[in-house]
Amino acid sequence: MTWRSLALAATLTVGVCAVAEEGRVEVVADVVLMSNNGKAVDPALASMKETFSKEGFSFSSYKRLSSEKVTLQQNKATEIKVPDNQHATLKLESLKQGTATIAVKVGAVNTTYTLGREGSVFINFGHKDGELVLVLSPITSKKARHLPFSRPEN
Amino acid sequence: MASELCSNFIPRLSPFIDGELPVPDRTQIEGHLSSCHDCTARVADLRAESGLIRVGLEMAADEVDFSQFANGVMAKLTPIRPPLLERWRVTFGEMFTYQRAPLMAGAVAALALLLVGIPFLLKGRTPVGYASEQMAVQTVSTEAAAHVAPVVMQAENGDAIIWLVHHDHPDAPDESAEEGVSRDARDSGQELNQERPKGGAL
Repeated sequence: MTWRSLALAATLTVGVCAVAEEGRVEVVADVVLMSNNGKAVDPALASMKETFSKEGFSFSSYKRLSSEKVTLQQNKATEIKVPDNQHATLKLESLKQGTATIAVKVGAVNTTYTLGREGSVFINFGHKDGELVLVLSPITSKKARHLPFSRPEN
Repeated sequence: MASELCSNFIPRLSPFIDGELPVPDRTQIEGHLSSCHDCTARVADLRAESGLIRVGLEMAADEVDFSQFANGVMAKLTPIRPPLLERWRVTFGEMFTYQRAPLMAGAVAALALLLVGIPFLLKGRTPVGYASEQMAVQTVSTEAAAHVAPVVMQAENGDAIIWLVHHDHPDAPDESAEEGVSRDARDSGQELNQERPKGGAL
């Protein structure tokens, strides 16, 4: 009976893995406030500051307002609460040949992009004592950008 | 001629030698036999008779071949297959009764395999949706009423920055939808006529 139990457990393990991941995509969504109020830079946003600096942005303060791992399902919109009484909506548009296409609507901007193991999308969507940016990062990213979820500060 | 006392014991002498009496009755008869020669002789006769019958039956049985007896009986039986649930009930009942130790060992091994195997399998696999190595922006558009236009900047490390710039230009089109505006197009001045935004400049 021992080998039967092991065989059953092995089958269950593979099955659970396959079923659990079918049709679900995960991304990390951060809301960052960039401003010139002070010089505080969240350590996890150091790479973001470097990226923006190279593109000509000279903000002195980078503050993360919220961070969460979002699970997206096909044709099902997922809403993320962002500051300034706005909402960000993410939707998994398609999943073809292992590559996911995500549609993002935040503020006045509608964006679609394909996921990759590297590369984040920074979407500027509003002003509130600075510039509000929605950062969408892959869960496979090596950059230490995402931390446990924290509620946005209004 | 049996006495009245013996007449009470005589009917019980045969079950006595066959060992079929309860202990109190057996004790009572043994007590009577210790003092009654007639009943003792009757018990001896009954034992001899029983022995002769046994020997006779054994001699008769020795003349018969019983080697195929069990097979012959089983062949005449109609096999009855119990219902599935009944078979499972019997199987699991016997398993939990007679194979408890191997069953527990198998369950522990299976649980350990699940606890180790699932994280191991999930760790090495590429997450769903991340077959591509690099992220790529496909389309960018803005709402017409917002009077903003998106500027898409592709960083060297593969990140993409989508920045909004206001266009209050009187000749601005009603629809400010811009798709995939690249850095080169912007720099060439074909799409927008604004400086790259800096901190606090908007």
